[in-house]
Amino acid sequence: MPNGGTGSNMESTMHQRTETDGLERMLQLLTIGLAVLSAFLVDWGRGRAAFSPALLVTSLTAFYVTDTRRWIQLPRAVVGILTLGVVFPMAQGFLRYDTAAQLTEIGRLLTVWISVFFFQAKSPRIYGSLIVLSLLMVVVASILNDGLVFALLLIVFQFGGLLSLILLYVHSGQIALRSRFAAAVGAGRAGADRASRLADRLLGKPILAYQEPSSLPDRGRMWDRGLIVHLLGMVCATIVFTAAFFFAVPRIGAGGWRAMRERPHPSVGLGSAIEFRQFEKILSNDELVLRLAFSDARTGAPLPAMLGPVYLQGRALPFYDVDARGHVTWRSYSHGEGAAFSELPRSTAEPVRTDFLFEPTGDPSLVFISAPASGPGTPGDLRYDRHSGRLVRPRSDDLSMGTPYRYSLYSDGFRSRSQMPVMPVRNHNRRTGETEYQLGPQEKAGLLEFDRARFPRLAQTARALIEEGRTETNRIFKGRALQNHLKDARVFHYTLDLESIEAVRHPELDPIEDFVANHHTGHCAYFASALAMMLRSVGIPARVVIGFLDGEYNGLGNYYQFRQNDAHAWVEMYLEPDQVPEGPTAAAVSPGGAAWYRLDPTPPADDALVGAEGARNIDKLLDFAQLLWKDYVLDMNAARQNASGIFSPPGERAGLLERTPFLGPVWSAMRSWWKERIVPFLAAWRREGFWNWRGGVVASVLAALVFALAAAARFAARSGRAFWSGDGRRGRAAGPRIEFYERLERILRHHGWVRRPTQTQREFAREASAAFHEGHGDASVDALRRIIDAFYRVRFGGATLSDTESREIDGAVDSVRAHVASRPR
Amino acid sequence: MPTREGLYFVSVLLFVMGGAVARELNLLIVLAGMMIGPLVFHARMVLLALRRLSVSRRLPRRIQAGESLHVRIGIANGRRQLGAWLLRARDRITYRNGQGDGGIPPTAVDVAVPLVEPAGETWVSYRAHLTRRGLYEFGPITVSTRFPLGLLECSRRFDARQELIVCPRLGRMTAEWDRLTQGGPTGTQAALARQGLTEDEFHGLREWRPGDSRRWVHWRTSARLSTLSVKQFERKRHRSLALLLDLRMPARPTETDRVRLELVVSIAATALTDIARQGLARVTLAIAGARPGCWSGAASPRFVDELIDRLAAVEGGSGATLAEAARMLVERWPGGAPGVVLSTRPMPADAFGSVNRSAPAELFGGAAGTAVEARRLDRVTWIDAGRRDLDRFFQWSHGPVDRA
Repeated sequence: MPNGGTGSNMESTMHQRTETDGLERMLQLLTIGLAVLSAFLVDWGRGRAAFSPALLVTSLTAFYVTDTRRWIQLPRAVVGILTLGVVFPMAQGFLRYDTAAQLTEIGRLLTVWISVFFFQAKSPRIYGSLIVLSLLMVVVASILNDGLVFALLLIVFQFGGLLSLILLYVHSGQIALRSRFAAAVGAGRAGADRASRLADRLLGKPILAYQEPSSLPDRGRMWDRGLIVHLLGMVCATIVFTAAFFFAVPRIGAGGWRAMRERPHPSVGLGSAIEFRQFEKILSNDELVLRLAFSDARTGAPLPAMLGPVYLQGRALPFYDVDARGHVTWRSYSHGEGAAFSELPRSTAEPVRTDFLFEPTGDPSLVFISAPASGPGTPGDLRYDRHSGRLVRPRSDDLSMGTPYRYSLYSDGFRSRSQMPVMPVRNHNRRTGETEYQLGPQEKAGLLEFDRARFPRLAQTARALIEEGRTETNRIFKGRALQNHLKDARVFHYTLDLESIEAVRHPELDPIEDFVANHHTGHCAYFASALAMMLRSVGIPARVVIGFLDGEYNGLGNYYQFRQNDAHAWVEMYLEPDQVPEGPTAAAVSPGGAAWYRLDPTPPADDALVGAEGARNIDKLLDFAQLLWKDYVLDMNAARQNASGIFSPPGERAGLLERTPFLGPVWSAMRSWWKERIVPFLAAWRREGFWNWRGGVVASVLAALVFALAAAARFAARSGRAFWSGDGRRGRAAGPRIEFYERLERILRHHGWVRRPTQTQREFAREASAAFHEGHGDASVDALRRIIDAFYRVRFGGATLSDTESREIDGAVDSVRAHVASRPR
Repeated sequence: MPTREGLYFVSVLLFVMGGAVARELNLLIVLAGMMIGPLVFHARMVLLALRRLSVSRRLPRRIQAGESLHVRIGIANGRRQLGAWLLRARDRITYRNGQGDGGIPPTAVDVAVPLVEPAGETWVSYRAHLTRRGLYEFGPITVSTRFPLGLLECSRRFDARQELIVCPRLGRMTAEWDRLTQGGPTGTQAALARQGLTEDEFHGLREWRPGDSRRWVHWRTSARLSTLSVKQFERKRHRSLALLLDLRMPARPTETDRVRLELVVSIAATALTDIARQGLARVTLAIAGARPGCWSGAASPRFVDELIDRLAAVEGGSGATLAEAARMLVERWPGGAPGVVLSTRPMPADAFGSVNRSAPAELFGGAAGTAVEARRLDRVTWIDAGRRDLDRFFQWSHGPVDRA
């Protein structure tokens, strides 16, 4: 009966318990790690560290007081009451009509539940619940997050989750084994107590069977290299599978609901007014605002970096204002509904397509290259408000405003990869439905507003410069003369330190007048304001424009990235149709149309910091990875799936790579390498005849390719077989397995005797016997003979060994093992 | 097939997929992919883990009821690269005896197998305590695994059926039984037949003592031990026995009836084992159970084992077969052997209540054909299992027989 060996069994069970404790301890720590990581992911999405520190403290406390010391172990009923109890206080927050707040409440609820579960005595069920709750936390985090780092942490979570599931499975198996054994011991003890009655002894329960925990063979061997390799392989294969699954799953939802962040949206400074004070804040912020890539609108081929500066227009601000405290503000017209774009004229010489990827922002205003036009990829509901001079996306809810926005615009403002300073006036009139190419008198009057009393020195300086330059008839020359004056670094200095300006300025003067007349120090808005006022002082309509200048070019993906500190202010002066210059720069202007001429008076900053090249390259690499993540993961929707041709017939996928935004340049570079290097090489080979050194190179490369392809095909076939069969060497001679003979071969192989493929088993045994004879292993020779005889009987005679024979053969194998082990190696 | 944990996992997965598809949350689709991926590879692993496995079991041919049984299960992995981790082998044990035990369900025993290496074999074992005599069937063995995640389970059945005979429990026969079977007070003619070349049989070796014959010296052992050793001899008694088991059971047997039946079977098995050990010349066993039967032969261990195997499976009857069994017994009665009837019931007539009184030939329904046969039946001793002084003949190893 089981209680017959209770003492030793209990001892072995205690030993087993100790081993299990190690495993369970690992499971406990892993569960804590998973819970804290999932809470961290939620915190990451919210932009506030709240749940993860709380959960870390709680779980570590529970680990000590509940799991290690066992001081506090909440009963199941108490846990049930607590988990239900916390639902009601949190319901109020959940009922708010704010999805982000609801998600936060769910995260809080899950955090509390996990915390409560940690204080329970751990059973496999509790561990399973903790893992599931952590998984639900990650679900919440997946809605709140969108970064590439999140994806990497998700892989860490996945690895931890898989490991914890494995440990949980092993742990629950051991628990089941122990409980079965305990039940059997209990039943055995009860049976023994009853067995004093003869009837119970003779007619009791006929069968009692159990496995002793101590009978498990060599438990530590389970965690061998093969298992670890398999698990790592599973994680890697899962990542590949996930990628394929992600791109293959058809998007059928309404779309538009993506990561919601509670953290502040980037303030791009595209509002209806801009204060000088804001610029300091904006220009010291390096948060990413947008990325853009240029391509040829006709061919779709990506364009490399532009040769000159790239100006992105955000908003035109014609109205200057100074309040009582001396704070300067530039304002635009009040917002109108705006109108759709017209398409780019067919006569455009160098149409350029610009793909924008705008980061989440709280403002519907967007940026554009001057004189934007629509085309394929331009959202139909984009509007351009001619009065406020801004591009707006359709009014959206908070959720979509919290997501990146992608749009494409077309422009004829480039020549030879340089952005032209002259931009045509092209406004679509909603009332008449026609395109206007000039400003009306009222608009022009607004651009000429100038208070000479406020800017006496400024007006005087402007007049003096105009007179000095003798440019009375040409507005462009006038503008350039004024621009060059302000750009003179010997006189004017660029700074973002507004306090130093405040220290030297004369409060009774207008800040711009003071800037031009006295301190000569300021940021781009000062320079732009001064130039605009100077132009107006000499009768030239002008406006300040804010936007972005010269983002960082990323050569990996052929795109520009603009950050907050790339924000810039410059000036556009109005050119009447007769003043528009002739020549290449005027090609984009319609006949009889007016134009804007861009002037940028800001001198380069003295303290421009240039980071180390290596660090910048790493930044670019990371940004490119982030861009790809956004482009191919976060923004994948039904339209993009259709556009990418994932579900198209193979024939329709031609040119897919070239059309792919951001990844296309890499493919194009490879193609151009092929065209520029390889094709001429092959052409030269054909010209010079086949038998020359070029032929040798081509033949060698072709041979290497053939071998590589053959090897790859063989490897793929073998891997495929191995994958589905779990055995990569199934091609070997198959046959019924004779376990004792295989054991014998393993023993002999371990000691250096390996059967050659040409040898029969008997020949091999004879060879081994000869060696045994030399070592006086007569008994082993006899054992070997018996094993081989039995092998031939079973393998070729189809015989089955009886139990006695099996035992004898086992003994013979053991005898051989003992003999070879005793031989000097 | 998904486990309970697997169903929870799939529920969460469906929730994630639903949210992902309905609201086009791409990160949820990524998360769903990361959940489906392990599930797919988990399915592959559980399917592969059971391919090319072979299972065997090692059992003794017979054990005694109540003995601890050590069952070994071997799982061999025919794959050369992929191991099999955390298998569960479920063996099934079915009690195959008929009478009154048809309602006993098979018992399943789960055995954990941590690892079967590629092209390797792992042996695990479990203990079984089989209380009742009879025939037990082992198998089939179902090997299953949920490795590695415990979310899906796959199982494969291996026939691997084997039978095990569980012999009746043995006790020990007393000196009174010896006297009874040696034909002492009962008047049986003790037949001491000489068999073999010598009267005395070799028993063992001991050190030489003064007075020992030189012929008894075992020279090879003496040379090995460097001291004189002599052979010991024991006189072997050669006796015969005729044993009749009357296994009458009422139509609705009580627990007492069944205990008496087991007692009779145990006494018979113990007596037969004793006979084989003592080396009696000949033994005849007749059984009047559900079916009558009679076996006679030289009292060799092999023959006795065969008889005990029959006793292991014997079942009680209505009593109608007693005459038939008695007839078969007298036909094969060993010459001069004493006869004993072991019965589940007392002798029917009051006159035969005494231990040493003989049973009348009429009791056996005219089984005796001749006068000699009638005399033999007249002289048999009737021992019923319900008698108070049963421990005069038979005792359990740990003490006297409880009263049934």
